[in-house]
Amino acid sequence: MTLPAAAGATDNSALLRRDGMLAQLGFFGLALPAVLLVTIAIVVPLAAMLWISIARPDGTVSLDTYLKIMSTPVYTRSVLTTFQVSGMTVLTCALLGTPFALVMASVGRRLASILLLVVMLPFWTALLVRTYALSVLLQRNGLVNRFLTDTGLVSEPLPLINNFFGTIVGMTHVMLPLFILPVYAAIKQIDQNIIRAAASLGASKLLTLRAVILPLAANGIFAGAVLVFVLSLGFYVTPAILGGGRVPMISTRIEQNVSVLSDWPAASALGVLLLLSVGMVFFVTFLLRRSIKALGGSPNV
Amino acid sequence: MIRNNVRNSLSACALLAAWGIAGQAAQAAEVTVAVGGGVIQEVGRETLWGPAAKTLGDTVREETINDAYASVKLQAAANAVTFDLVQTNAFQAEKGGREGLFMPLDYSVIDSKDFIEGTAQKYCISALIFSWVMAWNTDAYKDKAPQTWADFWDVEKFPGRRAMRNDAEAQLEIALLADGVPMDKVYEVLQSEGGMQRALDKIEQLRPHIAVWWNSGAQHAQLMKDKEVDMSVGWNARFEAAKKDGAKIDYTFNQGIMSMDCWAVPVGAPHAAEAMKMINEMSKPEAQAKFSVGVKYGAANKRAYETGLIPDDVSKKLPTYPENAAHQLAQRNEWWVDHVGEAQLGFQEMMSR
Amino acid sequence: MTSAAFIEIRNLSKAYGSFRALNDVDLDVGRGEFLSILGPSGSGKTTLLMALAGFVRPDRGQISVDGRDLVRLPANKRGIGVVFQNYALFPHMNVAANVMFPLRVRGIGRAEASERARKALDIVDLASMAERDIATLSGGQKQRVALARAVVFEPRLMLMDEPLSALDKNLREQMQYEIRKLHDRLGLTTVYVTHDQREALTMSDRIAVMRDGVIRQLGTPASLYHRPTSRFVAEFLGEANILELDAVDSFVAPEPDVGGPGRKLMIRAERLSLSDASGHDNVSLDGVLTRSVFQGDSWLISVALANGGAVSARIAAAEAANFSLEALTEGAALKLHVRRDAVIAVTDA
Repeated sequence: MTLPAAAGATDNSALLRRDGMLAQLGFFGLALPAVLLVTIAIVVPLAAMLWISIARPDGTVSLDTYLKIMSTPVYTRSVLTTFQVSGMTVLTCALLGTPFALVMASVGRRLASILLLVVMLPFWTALLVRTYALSVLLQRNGLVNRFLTDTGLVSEPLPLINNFFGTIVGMTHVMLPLFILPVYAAIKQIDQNIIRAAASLGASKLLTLRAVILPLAANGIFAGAVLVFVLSLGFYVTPAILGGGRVPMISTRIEQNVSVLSDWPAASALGVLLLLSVGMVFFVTFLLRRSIKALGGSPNV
Repeated sequence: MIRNNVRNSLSACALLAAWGIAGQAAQAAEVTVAVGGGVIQEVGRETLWGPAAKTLGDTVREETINDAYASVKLQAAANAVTFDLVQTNAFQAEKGGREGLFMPLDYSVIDSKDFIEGTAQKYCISALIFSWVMAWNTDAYKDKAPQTWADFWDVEKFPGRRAMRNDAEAQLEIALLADGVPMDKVYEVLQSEGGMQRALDKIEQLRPHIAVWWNSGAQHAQLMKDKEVDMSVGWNARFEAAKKDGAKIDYTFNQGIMSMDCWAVPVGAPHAAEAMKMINEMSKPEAQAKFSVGVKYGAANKRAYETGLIPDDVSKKLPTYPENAAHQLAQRNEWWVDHVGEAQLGFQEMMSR
Repeated sequence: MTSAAFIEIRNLSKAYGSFRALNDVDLDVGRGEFLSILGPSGSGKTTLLMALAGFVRPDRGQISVDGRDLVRLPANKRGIGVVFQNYALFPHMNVAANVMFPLRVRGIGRAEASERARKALDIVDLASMAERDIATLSGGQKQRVALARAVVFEPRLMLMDEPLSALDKNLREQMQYEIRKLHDRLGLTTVYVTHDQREALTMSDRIAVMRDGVIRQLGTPASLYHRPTSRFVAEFLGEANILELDAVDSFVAPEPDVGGPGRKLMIRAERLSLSDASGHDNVSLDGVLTRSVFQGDSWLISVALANGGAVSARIAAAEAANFSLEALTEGAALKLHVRRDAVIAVTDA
């Protein structure tokens, strides 16, 4: 039904437009507390950090601190170590977490929730406690080494802790749930009939996994990997305790600069570099996702 | 080290608290004592500032802080210093003193003539003394226990896994002692051309045998308890506690490096004069002895051991017990404040090699 | 059908807890036959199909195809084409890659696979869309791709699980025709699950009507429609009037089953007529019209019978035109006629 255009009817479009804008403004008002919190708790300190890293005592600005960091082996090695630890953690999480997520997604609901509980259990324990608990397990006279030596599998206790290996074990332990959850969600989202279709078309379980399930879960795997990598970049406690002083992360150097050397510009510059690293990871991820999407149409059996 | 993160955020809280307090007019003779909490605060109230205030007719207001240097720095920056007396480590006191955060102590008021040499400094005077010592597994070295840092370095005579701190502090002094530098020449050598390098090279020489570079106090005693290492550098009180717990370990004060926490008075303290008097009271042998027994750290006033207030079995386990103190080196904070940057960077570079 | 059957299903049972999805099902399907399994939801029709495909492991029973028992064979070894309700295309591959998938899995080279995929797409009129992304296709196009993918590897058997239920009515009718055409062209034995009785009637050589895990009746569409043996099948397949055995004069009722469900009479609504066509053995029913609804091609009238009971009759527009409007108003007395052979005795369940 259309109303006849009455002669002399007022044009109320401006009023209606204003109503719409007011309604929208009121709606955005809901986000205001969060916006304020983010501004005060993140943007301001970040700006301060950036400023401290480039400000000279005389008020001028320079990149001296960054140049110093780039040319100091102690720092460049820490950057390398940080990336190695993060990359390795992603790798072990992927190798352990993907099969786990697959199993979780394919078993019944009750068993799946038990498995989920097992994954989440460490989450409810304080990080420090967990880390020390791991050292009880992995140390020279720990459970693992005692089992290995008692059964004669090895003659000398293996160096499982206070090194790179121990750090990766600890990091993986912490990060695994964060990897598993998005992967599980992604696999769970795959239509069961698609997997059945692959089987009916002749694909073995392994081929179905490789050609269908994993590509379709790629988003989740990617999300999990990026999450783990980014969080690992800033990790402090686990490498400090399980690394035995051999795994100097950027975070360790920041802490030293603040608490021992009181070198706030260097600490800030390292913080900025860490932040840039995170940004770089997101950027590379974005590029990778785009190119994978571009390739997505081609047959990949 | 891990606690430092908490510390930094807590010092931010301290700043906020300082704002709140700044508005109030200071009340006469209410002395604000800022301490690190825990057993030190409890025992200190009973044996140090409590009795001292009574004697002087003052009242005391206690503040609990995590990082004295940061707290005072924030108060000073806000131009609202409220602390009269703060507990701080000696390194930070020296550093803060040079930056104008702490005032020189008035030794015309404070009687420090019986203090162990080096424990009554320009900006601070000892509150408690602990020691960097060597501990070993008594099972691993049944026949002959290591006694010197040279033994710690002697992997032929004393084979086994070792632990040191992942930080230059005290490790440089220990390395020079191991290299044969006499105790009274340690800082002279460190100060001299190539002295620090000599210490770092010495540590690097032992590096293949260091199984763990520990980071926190909780960590190093546990390493010994769990037999993760056979020998470790660490703090006397931690080793003593582990030993008492039944761990098969022992330790020696021989060639130990004495470090201290001390009392300092911030520049701008509302009752600085009262604070000096209070320090004097707290430095007397009886107060020192009672506090020492309560917290199980060493007293700096040598006459504390003559009061008869410290039982024999306790006194022998304290780093400042005259017989123990005689074989130890008091850490020199002036040197550390001057050289902390190059020392730490040098240490980390050595570790990266 | 005996040993000539292409698919032989014997004693097939499957329970989920206390729910018996399949209850000792026996079914034979002839080579080249288009058989529909029709039933309401929960009747076990999809379970039967999934057991055939190998996605559901039965508790008991045999399934043999072409003389070979495959009840223990995994799905990927059965060589059966399956088309799913929601298409189940691989969203990360384009049209051609989807259709090539079963060929590549079988180790067929890319060139040959590509050529065969093109032919399969040609059959479903999608040759021009080979490079398209799945997400850009309409529902009908997706189902064609699914069809092409299911036939491209020349399976010995095709299973379809309500493949058209997601499509709108017009498209559905068109696809019904095309699927049947494809079946006839390829001679592919097809088992087709649906809950839509019109679809089953339109497409099938035979229909198996299922309920509560058993096949209630199996037969050609016409025999099932006209000669249902049970009230359930009668009502499921069309508009059925159910009357007591004595509702029709001089009707010789069969002996009632002792202990079994009772017997009723069934008359299809469109078999009732207002006019008494001569030359046949007709019976008539007296009654009063209680309601009449004009439905375009026909009138649907409700009649309360004189000797108890009520019927609905569908009067075709052509026949209704012979009567005045007064004759079709409520309260009018009338006489309905039906051929005696259109009065069917059915079990009351």
